[in-house]
Amino acid sequence: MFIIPQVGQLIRRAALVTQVVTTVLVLVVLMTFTIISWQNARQTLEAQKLQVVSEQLDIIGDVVAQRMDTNGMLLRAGAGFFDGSEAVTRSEWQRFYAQFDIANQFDGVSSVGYAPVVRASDRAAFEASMQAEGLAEYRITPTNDSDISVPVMYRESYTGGEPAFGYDMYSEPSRRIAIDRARLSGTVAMTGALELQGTGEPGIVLYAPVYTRGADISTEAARDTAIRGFVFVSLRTNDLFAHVQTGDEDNIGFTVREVAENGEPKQIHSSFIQSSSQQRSKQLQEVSRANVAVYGQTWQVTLFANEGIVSETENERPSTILAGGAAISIIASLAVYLLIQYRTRSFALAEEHRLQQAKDELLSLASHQLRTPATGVKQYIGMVLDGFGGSVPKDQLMLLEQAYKSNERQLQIINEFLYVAKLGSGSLTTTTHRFDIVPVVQDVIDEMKSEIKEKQHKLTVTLPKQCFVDADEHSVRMIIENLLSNAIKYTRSGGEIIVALQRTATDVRIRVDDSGVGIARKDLPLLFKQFSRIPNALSGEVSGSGIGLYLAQQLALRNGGKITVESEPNQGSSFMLHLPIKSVKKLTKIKKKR
Amino acid sequence: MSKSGKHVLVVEDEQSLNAAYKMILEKAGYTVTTAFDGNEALEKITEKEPDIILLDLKMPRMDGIAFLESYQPKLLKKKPKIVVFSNFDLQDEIDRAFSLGADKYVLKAWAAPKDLLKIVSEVEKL
Repeated sequence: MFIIPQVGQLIRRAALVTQVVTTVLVLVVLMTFTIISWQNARQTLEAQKLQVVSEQLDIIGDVVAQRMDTNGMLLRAGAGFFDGSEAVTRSEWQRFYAQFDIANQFDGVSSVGYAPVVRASDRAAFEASMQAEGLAEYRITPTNDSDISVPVMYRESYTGGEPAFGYDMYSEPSRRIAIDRARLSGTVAMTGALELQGTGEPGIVLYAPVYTRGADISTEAARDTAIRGFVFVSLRTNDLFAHVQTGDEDNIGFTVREVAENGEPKQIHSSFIQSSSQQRSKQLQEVSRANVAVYGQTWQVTLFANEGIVSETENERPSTILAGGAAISIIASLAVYLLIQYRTRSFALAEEHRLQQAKDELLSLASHQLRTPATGVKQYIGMVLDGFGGSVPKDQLMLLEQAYKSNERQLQIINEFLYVAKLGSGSLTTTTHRFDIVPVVQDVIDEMKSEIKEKQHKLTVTLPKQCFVDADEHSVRMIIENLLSNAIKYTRSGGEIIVALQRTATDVRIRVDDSGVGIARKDLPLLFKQFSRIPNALSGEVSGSGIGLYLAQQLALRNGGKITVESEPNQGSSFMLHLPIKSVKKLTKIKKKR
Repeated sequence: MSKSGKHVLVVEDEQSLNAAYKMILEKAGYTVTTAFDGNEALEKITEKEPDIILLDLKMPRMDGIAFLESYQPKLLKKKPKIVVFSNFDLQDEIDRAFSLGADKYVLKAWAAPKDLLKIVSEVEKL
């Protein structure tokens, strides 16, 4: 009887496992794909940033090197000028460099000049010759303890008047190193970062050696001997790379630092206006650095950048892929879950429906087979009782009536079993409609009048003229038949039966009272249970299936009502069927709305 | 009880019931033709058109539903009234019978001889 729901449950349970496993599988596969895509996007972004950084570093390194090459060329030009002349006069020197328009064409050039090598023995004569040229206060300063001095002789200054005429550049250690390197190597040499003489600005100085014309300068010793002087250029490092642009100043910056052999590197240049604070505000971080060899010094170009070196869209791509992928994964998994659920439900419902139909057909077929022989008996005995075979003697008539009743009882039991089976399988169909219950109750009473009369019960009926209920008429008839039939059966001959109908504001109550054997209080809970027959004084004489009241209560419940009972042993019983009534006004309103 | 002489075709495979209905109806004045399945009923209709058909559902060879699907009332002078008279109470089958032209359904087990006459008499008036 309860196979059908179980089949549905089994299908659903098995499908739920498949549903969950498939959904999780889909989610895992899609999320894996999403995570792989996210990682690829991140790697691509990093590679893209690296490429930008690498390109920028190359560009800045090249620009720094070019800038220094240009200054080197400026020096070499001066050195060549000296090399091409026996003697270069101050005015020639001035005219020569005037052509370069240094103030406008070269960044950071503080001065360009020439400083000869003056032996200690020649110092006084040199000072005198300078004074004779008009520089009345020309002195070689400061005094240095070396045999030679390299005092400033010619100087074209563009800012700050550095260095002063007569300043012995050989007296300052950093310059001396560069001068010696230039002298001995025959090439341009550069000082480390220093304070420019006169202005105190940070700077560097480049030296190009000038040798005696025609002298052998093939060896270091020869060059040492042939050295005449140095063309120098002083550079202000703050301005030297001022116009070197990264093209994306908000997101990329750079510094140029001198790599010192000992101690902290000295900063030559920073593209940040206020270096550290700006760096912090833009959240620029060092991303790359490279060394650049510049005239005997090593400079380190360091690149700083933030996320902005690639577009916002590019930066957000990995997180977009992750979020989008996760969302798609969840939606797709949910869709798969719902799809499987839908298909499972449809399948389970179809299967349940198919089994339900088979069950219904089997029940109907079984009841058909059981009813048919009893129907034959009913017809033939009924025909004899109706006089088809002529008159029947009274004593035989009584026997035939007993046989007829017994057959009727059998049909009744078949019918009750069928109803209980249908209730159990959920295939009982009832049709609720509004009908007048009074004729139904009266009809049932009329049908049972012969039995009431036979047991000599006193019957009192109190019915209104009309009373409408909303219920399944057939169910109501079966319930009243059952209640009245029980009242007749379980009341000793000559008892009293009352059938009354009462309407309240919310329900209609059909009461069937009897003066019968009654029911013990402890047995009342068993009354509406299936197959429970309660022992009483008459249960031996009365036949019953034990499902009549169970069925009646179930039918009442299906119709939105219930059966209640009050009873005392030997004091009779009072059964009451409650049926709900719906507001007529409400019904009218609903109809109007439609 | 009717003395109208109306012609009733009883289609019932159970021999005892078939005979019982014939007796009851004839005694009440009806002309009765009997058939034991749908095929036979189709033949009997062509021989003599019935006013009322008392039709069982579960029958061998051709059942009541198949009969309703096969017979063509348009070919008859007057469409007979059809009472589905069966102990088979599958709702789908009953609904199908009504959709195929049945006028009434009665559970056979509940109809005593007197009830049978009452039912036929009522259906006559439809």
